[in-house]
Amino acid sequence: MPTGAARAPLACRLGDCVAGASATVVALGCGENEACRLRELGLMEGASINVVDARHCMLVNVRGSRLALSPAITAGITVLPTR
Amino acid sequence: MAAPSAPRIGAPPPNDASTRRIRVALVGNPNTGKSTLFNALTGMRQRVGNFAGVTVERVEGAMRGPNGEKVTIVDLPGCYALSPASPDEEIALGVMRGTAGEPMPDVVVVVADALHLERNLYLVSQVLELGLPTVVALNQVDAAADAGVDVDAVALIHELGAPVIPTIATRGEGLDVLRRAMVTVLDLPRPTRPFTLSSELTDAVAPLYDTLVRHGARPAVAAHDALRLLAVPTLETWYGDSRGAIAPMVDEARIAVAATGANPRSLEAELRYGWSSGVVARTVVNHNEGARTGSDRIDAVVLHRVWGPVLFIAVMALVFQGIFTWSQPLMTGVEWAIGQLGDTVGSLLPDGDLRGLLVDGVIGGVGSVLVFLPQIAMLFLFIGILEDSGYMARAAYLMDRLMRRVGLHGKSFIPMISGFACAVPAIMATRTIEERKDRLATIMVVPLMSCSARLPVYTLLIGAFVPPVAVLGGLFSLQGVTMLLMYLLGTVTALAVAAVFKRTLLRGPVRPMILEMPAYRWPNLRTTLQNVWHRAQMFLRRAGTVILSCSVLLWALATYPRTDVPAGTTPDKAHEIRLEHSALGHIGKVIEPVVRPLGYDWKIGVSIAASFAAREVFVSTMGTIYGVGEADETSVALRDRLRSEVNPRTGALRYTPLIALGLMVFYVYALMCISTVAVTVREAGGGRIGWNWAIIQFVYMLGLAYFAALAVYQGGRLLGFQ
Repeated sequence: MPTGAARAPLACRLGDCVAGASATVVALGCGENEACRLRELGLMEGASINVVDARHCMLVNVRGSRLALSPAITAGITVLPTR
Repeated sequence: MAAPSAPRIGAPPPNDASTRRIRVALVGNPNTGKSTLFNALTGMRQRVGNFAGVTVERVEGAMRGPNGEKVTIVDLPGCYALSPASPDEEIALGVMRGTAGEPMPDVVVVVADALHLERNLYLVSQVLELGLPTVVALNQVDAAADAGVDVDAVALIHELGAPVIPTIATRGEGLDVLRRAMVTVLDLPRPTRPFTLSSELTDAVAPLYDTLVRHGARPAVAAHDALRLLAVPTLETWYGDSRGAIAPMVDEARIAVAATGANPRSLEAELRYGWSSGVVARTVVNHNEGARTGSDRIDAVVLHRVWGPVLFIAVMALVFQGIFTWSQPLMTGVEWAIGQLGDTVGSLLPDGDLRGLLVDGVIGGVGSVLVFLPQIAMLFLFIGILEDSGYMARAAYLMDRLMRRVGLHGKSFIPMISGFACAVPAIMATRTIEERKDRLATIMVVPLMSCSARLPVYTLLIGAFVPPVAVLGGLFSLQGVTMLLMYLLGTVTALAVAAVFKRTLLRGPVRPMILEMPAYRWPNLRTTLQNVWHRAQMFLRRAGTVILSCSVLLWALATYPRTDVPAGTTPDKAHEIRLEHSALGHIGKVIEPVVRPLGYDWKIGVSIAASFAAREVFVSTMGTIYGVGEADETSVALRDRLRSEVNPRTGALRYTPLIALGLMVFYVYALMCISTVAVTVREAGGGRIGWNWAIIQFVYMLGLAYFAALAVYQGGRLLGFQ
């Protein structure tokens, strides 16, 4: 790899993302009930999300809707940052 | 595997269309304007009740079709998908499947939000797959247009294979076309699954599909469930005894689907959202994609780290002010009307038991309920406005952190705040909390929030025993600070007791928050007022029956057995003597040894006993005992009598500030409201389970009240504050 070339972003927890970040959902590692509900709301594997606020509860935009997610949820969602 | 298509349905048009009856189920995501649409279609022709066997509200309305058909519309609770996450969503699904104790609807109207079409189409695809005649009401097209989102409704019709009617429910636009579509859809081919499965996946779920059909599911429902069951953690109760046979087939289907390379848990979501995103790409143009919306700008303030909580406190203060102050003229008016009615009836009847029963028992009892109605209505008006505007979700978000520290959900905050007005509607408001243990914990502590019924007690005792002196640099009065302390005491205790419940009887993790922040919008006044009317009806029907019965009983206990009084006794003194020798008076004397450690005598004991049905009865009972006639909390005469009352044995003052403080603390904690008990029974599950929780609530609050008052009085005496 040439010196100074950008590295591919690494997957991380959604809870570690900051406000303004964009990412693609890789995996839902939260509880089964919660994962089921998230998929119904459109936050599923492969979905694109934008982080609006990253305080105690995280606010994310997904498929045109805004969701508030508690830390227990965001800690279990793996994402690939795109910005 | 595509769901099999059914032949054309619909009965041949009758000769007289006006005799035709059509049942319509109205379903949709929350925040789509579904209730506004329902109210616009049905007007005031609505009935509110409960679905069979559950406490979930059932709202049914009527309208006439374009040719006079009798159309009944059932407004189902909002749901994001046909998978129940709460009792409300479970009943919505049950109605669609015909397992909720009532027949399946003839037509389903799915209300979809034009501004959030991609997510709404998830539910639309599920409803289409069930194979019932379906109409899509594409609502809030005006809000979508304002946001730069154009939806091609004609193209959408072709994509969905079902009628799509653009509507603006707040303005009544599109309703005539919708009404017609509800009828004509019966003559159209039934909808089918809008996407296709590969042959591999079809084969993988085929055994599960066959099992579901064998256990009674319609083919369309079996096809829908075969996909859905792969994703859900547990089978729902509506499968009944078939769960034992279905569960292993679900496991096998998951293995078979995984063998094709697909994720069985996310397969349904991938298929539905894959389809809906394609539909949106072909039918929706967003001219402002990526731009900041109005809701974004408002949230920048409402959810600001500093201004968010400040604004929240200001909103709550406004709600409080409205509930306590703006409803007062109406409450005074209701009180006056009740008084006039009592006087009129009393003047028409001769003296005697019948007059006493009707005036004091029935009219007085019903009046004590009706006087709350303006406050209840004001509370629901505010709650309705906050919910419809989209702010309530933000409030739950802001309070989530605090509530989780005591083991509660952020959604618990709103019912608790509502408890400052009245615990009855506050307990009913806990239905939005999905997790049963969180809901029960909230129900258990809501009555600790000092409701408006405690205000007369506080006002009387503070007015009598707390001097009106300025404190804290002259900014506040001691009386005001004392009142505030009573409210804070109840609030802090409620949070502490909730923490105890969540670590003991209702142990369990707090369900993580997954909450949609809806777009802000102007509340629809008509819808809000209709909801207020529905809540008022339910309050009157449920609380009024119980409290009326108790008021009649209290009247009887205070009247019998009768006692002769010496001639020449003043009417008020005569009343006091009769009360002392009545059954209620005897109860007071029996109670006296129990309340003496708190500093109370039989008179306060009687007043406490009488106020177990409704707290404010304490004031009027004390007025009766002390012979000041029609007393209320502002009666100077009653305050003077309390201050000057002397113990005939010791010659010392009977009532002191310490006793008054202990009495207020008693009323902060004690559950003295039959209406609250009745609502707790229903909302905690009804039947024996509901009664168990209501008893636990009553006992712990009574224990808290007694020992707290005891600690105040005896502790104060030890410290020399006699």
